Amino acid sequence: MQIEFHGRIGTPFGGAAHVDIAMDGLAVSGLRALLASQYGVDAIFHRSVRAAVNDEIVTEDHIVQAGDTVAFMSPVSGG
Amino acid sequence: MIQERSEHNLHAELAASPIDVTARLDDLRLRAPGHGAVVSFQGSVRSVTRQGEPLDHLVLDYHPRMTLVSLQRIARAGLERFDVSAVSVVHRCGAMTPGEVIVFVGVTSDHRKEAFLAAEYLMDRLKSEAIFWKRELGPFGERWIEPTERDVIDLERWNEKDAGT
Repeated sequence: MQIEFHGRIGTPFGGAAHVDIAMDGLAVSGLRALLASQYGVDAIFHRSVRAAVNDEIVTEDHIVQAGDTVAFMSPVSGG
Repeated sequence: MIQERSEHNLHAELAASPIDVTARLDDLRLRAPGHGAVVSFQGSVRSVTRQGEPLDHLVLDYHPRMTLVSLQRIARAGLERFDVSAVSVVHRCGAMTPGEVIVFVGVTSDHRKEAFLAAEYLMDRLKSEAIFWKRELGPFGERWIEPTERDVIDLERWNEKDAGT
């Protein structure tokens, strides 16, 4: 699964990441842990970094399924 | 233009190339014929940073889908909150140099007060809520920008009971 990043959090990941998740899905909190271990980026745990699944902001217990569009976003700067 | 959503009295646009303000004003006027007031605002890229350093480029990163939705949501809120006849919001993305127009807001109404208020409300919301991530580039390197305390205060005043009256 390809993960998008937006804002400052994208820098340590080089803009995007790829992880494999189980068929029955993975909670957002678990996905953060997987990204942290795979890429060595603890900043993904920062509470200001929000997760969006299929373009909707979700909570930590939301289950990500294969085929979802997943993005992690730093706080927006505004216009 | 990268993306736009347009209805007869509402226009929201994410632009990758310079904003033609005259064309946007002409478009706005056509959306609400017979109006008595047109108020517009254009924001430009400053030549120095908040720290007083020279700025080479301002870069606005955007979300490929959520950014335009945020612009449309803010434009619609302005249209619905005030007694105005049409609203246009056009926002740049990508790399810009000092002096380039970064945002255009236009409002038409029967009377000037509502148009002024709506334009200010739209800008206050855009400054804090539009889905962009800004970076400054200059002799200092690269720096991410986040909303200032002033931006937050400007936005919060619209939550007060008598805001805009």
